[in-house]
Amino acid sequence: MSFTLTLKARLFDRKSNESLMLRYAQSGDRVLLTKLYDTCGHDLFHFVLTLSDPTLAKDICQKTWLKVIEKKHLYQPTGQFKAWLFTLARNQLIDEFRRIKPNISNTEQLLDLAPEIELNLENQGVSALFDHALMSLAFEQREAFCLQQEGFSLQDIASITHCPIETVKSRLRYAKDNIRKVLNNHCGEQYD
Amino acid sequence: MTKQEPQSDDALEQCFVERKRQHPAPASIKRYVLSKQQDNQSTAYIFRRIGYVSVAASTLLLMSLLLLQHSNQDATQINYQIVQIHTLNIEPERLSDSINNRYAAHYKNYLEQKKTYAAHHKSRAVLHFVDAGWQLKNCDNEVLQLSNELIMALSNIQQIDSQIISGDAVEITFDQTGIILGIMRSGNPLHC
Repeated sequence: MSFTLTLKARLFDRKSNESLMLRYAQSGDRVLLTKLYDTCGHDLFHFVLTLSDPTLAKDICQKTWLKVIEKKHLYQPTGQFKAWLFTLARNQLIDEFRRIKPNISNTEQLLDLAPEIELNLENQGVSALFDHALMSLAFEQREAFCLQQEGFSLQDIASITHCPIETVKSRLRYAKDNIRKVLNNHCGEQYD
Repeated sequence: MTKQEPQSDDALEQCFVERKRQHPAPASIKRYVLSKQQDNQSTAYIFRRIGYVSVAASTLLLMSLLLLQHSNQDATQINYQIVQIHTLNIEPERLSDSINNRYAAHYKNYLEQKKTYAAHHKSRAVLHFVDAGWQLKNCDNEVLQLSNELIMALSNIQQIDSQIISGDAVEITFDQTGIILGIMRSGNPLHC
């Protein structure tokens, strides 16, 4: 029984992102990178897309994966690979925002950079409403909400966004409240 | 948090998953990343080959230098033998030294001989002619009888003034052994 569990654990460990990344850092094997991309590529793109626009998201994702290729030897197996990947992407995105608007000193000023969505909220489905509600959030709330939905813990989110856990909690609470408000206004009370 | 919040969170999660499904990552990102990985792998392969070639070339160079140094050491040994042969040729050098020594000895002799003839000191006296011959009388009333042979010898080497007459004050030149080397008339009269 214990042998089976150990074997399962080993097999599972070999297929984890961290294990794949470690092996990729050692070998540079294309197959391992492909597996990593298949596991995290879609999530990363959606995260960056939620914080920017499709063109910029594509550009940032490409740059982030290039960094993974070039800086693979810098990967530390102490944390999640996905958290490292998202941190790289977020840093790239913030750098890009600063390049576009050099006077931005913190992420709170990024609200006006979010793509403006003009929706006719009447006769829209829940998905469109959710999309509208999400994109109406402040950058930091949107960011925290997305990261939580991606499965990151509060500690991970705090680490990725470089802020205290209490701040993350606060942002998440405001984010969810704001989304619920929009959804409840149009769909009734089911999101309370 | 209310009891309904977990359900609400689930609903938000479903909305988020649905949104992710509607925004898949473009396939071009994966193609781009994998092509870059291929380039990176090729570059890494080339650099690795360059590294191997560099190591081989360095080893070869080191070996060449060692061999060259070894051959130089052999050459030094031959030179050392030449030096030994050169020590056989020290004979002319010794002859030269001997000639120098002989020259120095001769020169010393010459100086000594010259010193012999050099005046050691001078004394003043008054010349008197008496029956016995020439006499020199100094202020100490010491009388020096000059032999005819001495006068002849001094005349031969022109070290006696032929114009002196009895009563003239003269300067007598002696060598270090007290031998009279010359008698010359003094311009000043002798005052005792």
